[in-house]
Amino acid sequence: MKGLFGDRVLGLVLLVFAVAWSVIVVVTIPTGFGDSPVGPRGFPLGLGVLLAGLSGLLVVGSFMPHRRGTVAVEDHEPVAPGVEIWAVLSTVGLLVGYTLLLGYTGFIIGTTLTVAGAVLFILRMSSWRFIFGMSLGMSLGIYLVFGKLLGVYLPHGSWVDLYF
Amino acid sequence: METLLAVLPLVLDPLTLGLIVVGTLIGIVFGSIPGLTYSMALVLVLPITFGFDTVPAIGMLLGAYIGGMTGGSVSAILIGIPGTPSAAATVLDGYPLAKNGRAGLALGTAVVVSAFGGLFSLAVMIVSVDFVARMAIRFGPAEIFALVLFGMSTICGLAGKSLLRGMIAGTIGLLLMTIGMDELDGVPRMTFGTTSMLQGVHLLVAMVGLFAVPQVMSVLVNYKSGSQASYRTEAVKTELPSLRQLGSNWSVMIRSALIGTGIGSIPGTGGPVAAFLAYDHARRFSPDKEKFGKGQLSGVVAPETANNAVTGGAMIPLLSLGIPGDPATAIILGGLLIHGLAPGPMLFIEHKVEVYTVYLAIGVAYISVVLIQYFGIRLFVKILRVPPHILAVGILVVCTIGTFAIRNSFLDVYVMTGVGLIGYLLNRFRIPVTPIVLGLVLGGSLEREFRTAMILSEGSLDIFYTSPLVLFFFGLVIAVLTFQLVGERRERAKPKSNVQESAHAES
Repeated sequence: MKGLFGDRVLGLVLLVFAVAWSVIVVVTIPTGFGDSPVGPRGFPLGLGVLLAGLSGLLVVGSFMPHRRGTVAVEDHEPVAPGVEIWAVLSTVGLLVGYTLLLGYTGFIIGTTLTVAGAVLFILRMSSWRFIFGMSLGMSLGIYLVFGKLLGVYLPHGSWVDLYF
Repeated sequence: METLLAVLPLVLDPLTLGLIVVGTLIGIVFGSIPGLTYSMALVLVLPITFGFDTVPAIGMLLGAYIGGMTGGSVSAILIGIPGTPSAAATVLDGYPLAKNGRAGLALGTAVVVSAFGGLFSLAVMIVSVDFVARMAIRFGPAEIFALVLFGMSTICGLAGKSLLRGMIAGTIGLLLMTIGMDELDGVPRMTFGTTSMLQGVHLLVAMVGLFAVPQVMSVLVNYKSGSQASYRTEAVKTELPSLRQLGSNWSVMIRSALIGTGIGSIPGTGGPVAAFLAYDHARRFSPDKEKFGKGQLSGVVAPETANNAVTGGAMIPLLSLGIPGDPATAIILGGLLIHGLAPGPMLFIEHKVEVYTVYLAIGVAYISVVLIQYFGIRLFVKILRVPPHILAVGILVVCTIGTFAIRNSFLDVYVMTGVGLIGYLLNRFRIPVTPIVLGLVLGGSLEREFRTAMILSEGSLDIFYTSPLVLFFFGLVIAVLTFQLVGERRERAKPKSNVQESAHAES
């Protein structure tokens, strides 16, 4: 996102968030019981107001004359926005889909299907041997190392559950 | 001394030793692959340690930390891309050495001086940590509040390029921390009536989201846009430097180790800053300045000694005061807390054994670093050839499993995904994520100490300006903020091309 415009958008989003936060704090959190001078409301409210102030400064700062014409140095190489949206959505989609699948099918089946799906649809690799090897290798490998050797609790499925 | 002898068998237990070595190996692998950071290695290792006792668990975690710190030099030297930001200065002379056919020597020297820097700072840490803790034991809630505020201010100020952005990030972290059951009054906050939110945002869930998910997104961006470099490396063999080569660099090593330890002990600075300062220092005081940048061995020695000396330095405020200086130490703090060790002055009284375990584990980790890199360099050369997008899929699987395993909650995985998405977006808007994590880590004590102090003083703010120590820390906060603002003003006045050169301390 380009320097000053990005600051304004970000500042406004954060400002709206901070104000909403503070309102919800006042409505839902009681001031506390008797003897404590700073109740449970104090910090969340104070921080909400602080964030509102800081994001306000960000917006105001982007209109200041000395920032005119200074374009912020980009840390990233410019990439096409489509690519970036694709990458973000793929990652989020993969995580959400994987989690849903884990709940129904348990670790081994869920992981095998997710990894195969990721290789096929996100990385778009079409070597069946590779897809098969990677998905099965990863799910069984992690199952053995994490589940059996290290004793990490892996999710069980509510529909099918493959464990041995 | 008796404690040390008592702890020795605990650390030399085969399981503990094995886990330290495995942790170190994981750290080196993540450290050496550009695009995967050792913060990520730490958040992925942490869930693995849940099943173990405190000593092996902490050993593994520290192994990953130290392995990650040294691993960055492998890719810096072999392919000219730093595996971690801390190794960025190593590229300057390490890569030219590799191009001159002396990659083996550069790698060997890097690992030897890394171990030297690390062990040097370990010694400094053992001496000073006890001293600092002994002073801090007398702190009351007001002093601790002021101290934590100072920790927050250095991190917000130094982690990014802009104080305002750092403060915004820190405030977001503190806000997230307040979600859940209020410790002091037992009131639910921002839970919207749900029971699943009562436990709040788990620190580790947020850290996996912030450190692993955005990285995976960036890897996919590079994959799709085709800007992913395929790393070609030739077969190399690690070649240890001769005593004469080390001997001619001993003063650079000691000075760099001192720089690293000192920088490391200031919260908010960390490896990249120390490495560049040490490199600059070595070049400035060298008789043959013009050889730097063209494959001078001292140019590898200085940054590698310094960035590993940071490890011991960073442990000083972490263990004695409970203030982490960078994301990696924040994750270690999270790990210590999960295993029931709350860093701070009381740690040295209540958990003496575990404190000595930390010392010994760091020592063992450095020895394994040398051995692993000497015998296993061929393995790392192979690992560098595995394309990052393949690793990204595996990392997402491990993130999900790790997050789920924290408290067997699918909701946590969704929270992790959401936090990761927010982390990526904030990063794109140039808001640093490090202060968010530190806000989450330190927020609890910030609020608790403030409210306890207010209860003690019966609602009067006097308690915050009658103690000289509190005033001292508040003075430091103001000094840090002023320093940062003046620096930014000066930066703005400078021509734009110089701005790009400033080291970006985000890992």
